[in-house]
Amino acid sequence: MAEIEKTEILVSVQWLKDHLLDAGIRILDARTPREYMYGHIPNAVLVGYEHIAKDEPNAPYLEVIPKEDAEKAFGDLGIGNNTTVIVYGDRGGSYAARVLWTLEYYGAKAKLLEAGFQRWARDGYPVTRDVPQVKAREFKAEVNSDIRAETDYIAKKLGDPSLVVLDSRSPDEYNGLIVQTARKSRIPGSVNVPWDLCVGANGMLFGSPDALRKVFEERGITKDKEVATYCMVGERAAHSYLALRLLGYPKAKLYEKSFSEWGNSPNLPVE
Amino acid sequence: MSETRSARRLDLTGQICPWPVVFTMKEVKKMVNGDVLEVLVDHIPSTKNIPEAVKKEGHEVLDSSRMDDGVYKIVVKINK
Repeated sequence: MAEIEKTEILVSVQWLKDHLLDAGIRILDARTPREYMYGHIPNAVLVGYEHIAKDEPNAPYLEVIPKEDAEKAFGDLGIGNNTTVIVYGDRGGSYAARVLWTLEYYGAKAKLLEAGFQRWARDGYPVTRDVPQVKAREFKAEVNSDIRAETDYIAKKLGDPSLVVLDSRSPDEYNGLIVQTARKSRIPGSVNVPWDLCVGANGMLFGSPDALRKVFEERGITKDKEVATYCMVGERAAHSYLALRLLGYPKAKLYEKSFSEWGNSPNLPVE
Repeated sequence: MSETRSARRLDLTGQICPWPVVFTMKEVKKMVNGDVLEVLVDHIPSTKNIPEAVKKEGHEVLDSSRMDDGVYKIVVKINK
């Protein structure tokens, strides 16, 4: 793990244990309300989709929260522009990855805990049921549009060899055997890299750098390429996006509306 | 007026993509016209994906609501 810990994306469990009470830290629990209620990392607050996605009940997809709403939501979570946000999750960390991407998209200083909560608890690190008081802060967002792939952008660049469209779903979804949208199966020319190939063993959210590198390079996804990741709703793809970032891919992006938008849009091509 | 034949509950809390939809549709396949399926999920995207998937096959979503502990209940009436 040493190589990965040197990056600006992950923090170790020991680092978080040593900084639990730091004033400049906001810890976000990216799990379910029930899981949070049963026990969480001290000083952590729950982060839900209401903090990271646009409130659009009739849309099949989960679009990133609008800028002004993000400023309010992040501020309400106690995040200021100088706050270091530490996000943790479980179940492989796909939702935590989506939270982290959203924070990065709006310019927050954010990192992901290297291990899931269950590993944290199993290793004897502190757990509580106490819910901390949160003091709202002012957060001014600066959009980092380089890490977001929008629908039109992908549609226009389809077939361009400089862009890899990476499908993080399972092979059965990629091949149209599991269908959740009006049309199947995938974005034309996309490369299937199931997200769980990048999940680490024993509760670690990511595999070793060598393992990750092998996953991408074996599929011809090299650092010189721009890579837009997608899945069904932008969680698994956020994990793949972060795996690419961990390896230093400079042009990784997330298509957060993913196939729940693309596969339900009759004007967009599928194969 | 259609007849409600039987009700089943599927607890999919703890499951993430794509399993809530996969397990729901697998259960739907076993059911007959008029049956009611109640699905419990705590994966928020599934509260969008499951209704989309069942409606696509012609079934009716009778209810989709959040319960106290962040678990969502989606009630589907089977049309076959």
